[in-house]
Amino acid sequence: MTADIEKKDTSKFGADFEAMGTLGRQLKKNYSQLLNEPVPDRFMALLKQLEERPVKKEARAAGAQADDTAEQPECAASPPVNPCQKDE
Amino acid sequence: MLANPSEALKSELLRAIPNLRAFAVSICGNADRADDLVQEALVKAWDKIDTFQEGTNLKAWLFTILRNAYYSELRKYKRETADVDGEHAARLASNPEQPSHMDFQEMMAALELLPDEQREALLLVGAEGFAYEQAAEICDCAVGTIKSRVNRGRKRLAELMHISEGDAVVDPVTVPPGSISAKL
Repeated sequence: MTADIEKKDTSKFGADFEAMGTLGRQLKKNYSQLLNEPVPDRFMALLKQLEERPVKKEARAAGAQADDTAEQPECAASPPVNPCQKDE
Repeated sequence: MLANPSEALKSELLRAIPNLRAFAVSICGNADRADDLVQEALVKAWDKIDTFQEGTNLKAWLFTILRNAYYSELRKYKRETADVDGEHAARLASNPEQPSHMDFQEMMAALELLPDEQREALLLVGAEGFAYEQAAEICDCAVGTIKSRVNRGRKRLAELMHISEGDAVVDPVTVPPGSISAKL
């Protein structure tokens, strides 16, 4: 449904922007040049890293402000399985 | 709830990376910085994937996150780059007469001279192809505001690139050969 709306509006826009002639075409051409650039390895590595990162509820609750970076070696700091988490 | 994104979302995330990178470099004008922004946006998106409403537009959601990251960093960065903007302006001004051969660099430089809100509107709608409504949501403003920013942005860009908009306008009725079904 969203896709339909998007498609319709985009094509409507497309006609509009075609009227921009040179400028509009150049903008799209430039942008598609950017779109076609190969994705650097660092992003594949990042996604892999995010995927392997343990989901830590406590860490989130405690450091919700500061957990913007993926680089923190959290798994090294604490054991992944903690059998004695009864204290509340 | 605090789990990793579903496989479907992950592959959508992956597919959006080229778009995020293209948008980021277009708004900030620096490839390294752009990739840092994309990285930041991806990590943020991943961390709060549980707040994403399935069925809505993931790409738009990601663009919103990226844009916020850009603006939260902009204030400190802007001061340092004031001179760079000046350089771009000088380069453009020294090269006034090549409307149809404007190259990539030129347009990137010209885009950089647009006010932030016009540049992003133009890119979201004109380059990325978001509907006005979606662009408005991403930029957290009214649809009419986006429309007027796109209009002002393209006028300004045409000026910067020394394109006469009147000359540039092509017949909007022109339909590429083969697409007969344009009007059913």
